[in-house]
Amino acid sequence: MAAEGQGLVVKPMDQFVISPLFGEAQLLWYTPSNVTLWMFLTVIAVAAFFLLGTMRRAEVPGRGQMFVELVYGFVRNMVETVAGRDALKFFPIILTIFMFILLSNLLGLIPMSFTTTSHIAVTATLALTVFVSVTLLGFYKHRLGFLKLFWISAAPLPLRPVLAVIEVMSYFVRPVSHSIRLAGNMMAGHAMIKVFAAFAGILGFGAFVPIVAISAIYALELLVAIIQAYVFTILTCVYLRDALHPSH
Amino acid sequence: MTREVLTEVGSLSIHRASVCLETELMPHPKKSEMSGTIQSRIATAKEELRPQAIAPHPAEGAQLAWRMAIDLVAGIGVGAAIGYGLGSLIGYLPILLAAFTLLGFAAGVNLMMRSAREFRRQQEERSCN
Repeated sequence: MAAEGQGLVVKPMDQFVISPLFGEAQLLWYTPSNVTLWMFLTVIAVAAFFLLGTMRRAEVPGRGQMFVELVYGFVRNMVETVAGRDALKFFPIILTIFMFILLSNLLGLIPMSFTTTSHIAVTATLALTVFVSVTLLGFYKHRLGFLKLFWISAAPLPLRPVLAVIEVMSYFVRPVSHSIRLAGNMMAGHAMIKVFAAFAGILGFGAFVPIVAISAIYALELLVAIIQAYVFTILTCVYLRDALHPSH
Repeated sequence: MTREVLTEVGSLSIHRASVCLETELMPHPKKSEMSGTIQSRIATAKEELRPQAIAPHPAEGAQLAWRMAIDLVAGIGVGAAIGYGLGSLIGYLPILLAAFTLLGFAAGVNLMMRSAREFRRQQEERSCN
């Protein structure tokens, strides 16, 4: 943008650059990068949250165990109300998805850290995992009866083929919007913080205005981080319900 | 008269039992509210027990709006991509591109309507019965 050190230097997207961890010249698909590092930290954080929280297995739960039980109960309740009782079989994978997204969002809020969920490559992998497994599950459970999901029997017969095309397209739109929503939300807020930080850099004494704004955006980002993990999980439950009960 | 009042009270207690848990946990009316005829007391008690719709959190509404907007845009994008892919494979690129973009838009609207329906159902469930 501008000359280094002088004037307004806004580089909001620099924080999303993927760089090799050990200074390799080339970035190949197997190169350990900062994405690898922060995903690994996320996995460790999820494991630590559950293992340390439930380690004492107290009859009367302490603070940590209480929190773990709260999260567990929250997600279990969500699966049961949204997808039905027979979806509880899939509760472990849904809790895993929720915790992974939640903690990678929250770890990404630590200054100087890297937000893995701001990359569409990451969120699309998660969304495609859900999409492919839910589709396979639907065909496995209902064979060709799963296609009833696209055949709206409530509509008049001549309209049904047209509606079926639209329904099939809606089905394929879902993983796209599922992944874009999470990545877009995470990226937008982080980029905005960087833009305000650049203003703070040049304003000198008046810098407190952008700093106050950054604090406010940070609080909003904390909310967004939690809500997006929730939204991703609840949509996973909705798709799971469609696979288990395809007839409308 | 007494019989009438008793049946009224009986139906009220059934009504009280049928309302959902949150309203069930309400404290008993204070002494000052105990004045007046039994009819008016029944009326105020009924008014108190009527389930009230709980306003959704503003962030929830914003999330729904975002979800709809992204569904719509993603629908158009996916439709255009499918149209372009099919068109360059089997020819008739302009026609297929236009047709599938429109279909993608329809798919986006369809998803939007579905999430709106879901939201309304949630609201109805939340305001219990």
